[in-house]
Amino acid sequence: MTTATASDALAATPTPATQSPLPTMPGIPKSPIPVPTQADRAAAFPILMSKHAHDAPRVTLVNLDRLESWNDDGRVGLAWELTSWTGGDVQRLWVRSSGEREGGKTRGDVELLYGHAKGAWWDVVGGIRQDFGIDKTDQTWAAIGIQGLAPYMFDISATAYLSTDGQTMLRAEAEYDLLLTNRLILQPVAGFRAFGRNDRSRMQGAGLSSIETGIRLRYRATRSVAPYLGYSYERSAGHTADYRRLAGHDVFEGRLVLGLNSWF
Amino acid sequence: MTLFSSAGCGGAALPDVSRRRFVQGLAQGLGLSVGLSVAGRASAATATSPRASHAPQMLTGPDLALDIGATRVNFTGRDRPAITVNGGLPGPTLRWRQGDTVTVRVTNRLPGHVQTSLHWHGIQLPANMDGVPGMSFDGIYPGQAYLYRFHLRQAGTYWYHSHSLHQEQAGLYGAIIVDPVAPAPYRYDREHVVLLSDWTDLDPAALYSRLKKMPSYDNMFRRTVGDFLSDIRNYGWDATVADRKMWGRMRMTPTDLSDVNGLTYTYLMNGHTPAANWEAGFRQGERVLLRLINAANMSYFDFRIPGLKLTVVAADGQYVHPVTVDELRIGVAETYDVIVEPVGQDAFTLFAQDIGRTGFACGTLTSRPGLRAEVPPLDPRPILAMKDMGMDHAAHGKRDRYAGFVAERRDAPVLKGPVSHPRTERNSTYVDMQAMVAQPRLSDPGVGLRDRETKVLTYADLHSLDGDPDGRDPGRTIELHLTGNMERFAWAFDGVPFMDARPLRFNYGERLRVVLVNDTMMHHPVHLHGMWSDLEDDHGAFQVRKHTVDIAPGSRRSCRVTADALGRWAYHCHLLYHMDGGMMREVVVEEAGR
Repeated sequence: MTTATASDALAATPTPATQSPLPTMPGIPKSPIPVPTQADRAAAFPILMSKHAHDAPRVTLVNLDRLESWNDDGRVGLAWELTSWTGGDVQRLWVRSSGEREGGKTRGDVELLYGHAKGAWWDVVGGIRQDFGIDKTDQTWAAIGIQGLAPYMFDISATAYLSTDGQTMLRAEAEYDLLLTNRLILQPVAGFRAFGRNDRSRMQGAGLSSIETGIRLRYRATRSVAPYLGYSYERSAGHTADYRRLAGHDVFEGRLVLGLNSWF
Repeated sequence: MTLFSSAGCGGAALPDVSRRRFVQGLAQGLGLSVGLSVAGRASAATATSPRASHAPQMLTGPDLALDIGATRVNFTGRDRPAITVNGGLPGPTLRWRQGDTVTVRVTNRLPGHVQTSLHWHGIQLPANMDGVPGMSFDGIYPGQAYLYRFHLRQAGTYWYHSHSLHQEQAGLYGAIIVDPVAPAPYRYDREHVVLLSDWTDLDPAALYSRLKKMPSYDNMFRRTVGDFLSDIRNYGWDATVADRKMWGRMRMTPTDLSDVNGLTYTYLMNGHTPAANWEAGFRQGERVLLRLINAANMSYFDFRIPGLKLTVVAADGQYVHPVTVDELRIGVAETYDVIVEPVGQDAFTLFAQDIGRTGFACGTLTSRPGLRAEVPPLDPRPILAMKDMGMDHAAHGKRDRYAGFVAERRDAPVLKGPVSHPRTERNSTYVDMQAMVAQPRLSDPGVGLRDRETKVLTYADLHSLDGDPDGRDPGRTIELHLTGNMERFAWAFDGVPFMDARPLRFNYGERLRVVLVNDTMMHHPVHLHGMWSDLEDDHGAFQVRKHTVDIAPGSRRSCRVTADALGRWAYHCHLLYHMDGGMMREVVVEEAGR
């Protein structure tokens, strides 16, 4: 048991402490404030070697938004989408990447962007993008865009690009998390891509080029790992659809996907 | 008015066994035993029976030596490093006498190159004794010692803790009792320190990093489709849709009460997990004084003793007119001295649940060792109301962040009316919402306690026994807005974080008013070092002297400050990860004309 201390038992009745009966004089404190001595001043403002260190530490977040696979008539495909940033509250360096691998061929993109916060909800990003893969899709672009959280909790990302050979592109995507439970989350997603001019060799048609929608049901097995099941649908439009048809490719593609969402 | 359901309200069964074990701690979860050698590992003392409940060691006298070191602890089944004072977590209780000049030699025995510090929370002393690295002194480097020396003008219950990065979270805190020269205006036969804290097995730097990456990590209680449907059943389509639209527009969730909750923390009472059951002894017929201290890093507690009433006799070490309540909310860094008269039972549970109702700390007030009383279940999880967002019914629906009002009313003592926001808040990354209408709401028990049929302590109940110690009307008013960005876990005053801000300047000797407006939906305990914050009532008159003032969500509270301490002083939110995130200012008190 804890050792007890006896109180001052003499104070049996509560006694109000001294109350000043005088009305307060404006400008004069009840107890005088002492005039500082030189020693007081020296103690109050010691000479310090180091400044107060409360700089924001650098944080790095890697968000594996999608790592998914599908089975398309026996052909297994794999796709990824990744977003990461490093930095502080306002200025960050972003790395974004997406792509897919199907039938032994990989194509995708990597972006390196400088981001600056705009208000509380958005980042303005700018930098470069490099496409890679096969079929002459390698292009290098300058990129500028915004990403963040719109009212009603929509995750929005919109980026405009200018390639080294004069092509322009616009990509935008919106996502929403619908909580079925705190662990089971349904996520619809919609996005589109558009190009500035026709480029038949790359099957890029001017105007709206493709739209993508999908719905993914993810289960937060832990708070940083969530497997998911989903359906993804992509449809080409306009000139792009024409190019694809002429080349014997599908104009629309729907697939069932199984994947993993994670961050660290 | 809290209409809407919180996720799992009432049906919040404790999750799986592993989490319950985590919350309760080991059966032996003593953590570590008192009196270890500083360099040593936890000895076999951790295997002591749960009945051996140690109070923190007490050191008495004006000349003390404290060693800060690293010690292994085990609260949850995992062996983890902690930072301790003289090997103890909490550190020893320091007992001094008012009027003494105390010297404390604090030695850094931490491994590596880690600087440390000790701050004496609530104690008035010279600035170079305040223990804030970079403001008071350079900090204490490994192998070095700092000789603190100060004269104690005051008496009461206080506490001490590290002011170096993340060390308080790692265990560096302890109680201070300063015995008064004049007898206390109340009688008691026995006393106990009840120090509440939050422990994490995570490295505190890793926890902070996690907060920056995923601030909502611990918010596993968001409203779901099921809650939406049940709200429609209970409140109708229109009201439910309007409510969801309002929160959606703000991009916030009303279940966000604590950034870090019982999913991450194990709550401790005097360094004991609930399973370890810290015991406080009493004999029948005694009046027992409990010195409640909230030494947590991020957690507010609602404290009650089922079966006993609490008579609050002091707040933040200062006497108040006694008020008897059934329950009180103790914010981070606050202290309350309460007297209880245990009768009718052999044992009572000291119950402190976090405000988000995700966990609790508990102990037993017992007349014989080994007794336990029933531990009440956690209350249902509360949900924020419109007043917590700084909105009222009139304002709802006309959301305009810079709602029109014209001139700044600098000399208005009455804290009513629409809020005027500093220009630096406009488009700031550190501002994700603003209160539109903010009142002091001193008589509001707070979210989660509004429906109590029993009496809950509010700030409106606290009145300093001695009246206004200064007596002057405030000469000028400074207004500070508490702002934050939950998505980035970035915190500031007026939308400007500490690293970008200029110091506030007070003139030595002046009596000024500081108005704090909470432009966030969280509680923030604001602490000014070196000087008292005298809380004002609804009419702007002096009410109660404190060192730490809880600014409730969406509220506006004002304090009078006598700038009678020269030097550079920290002024910050005592949710320490918020302080680390930028919610801090330096206050320079200097003589006019120098």
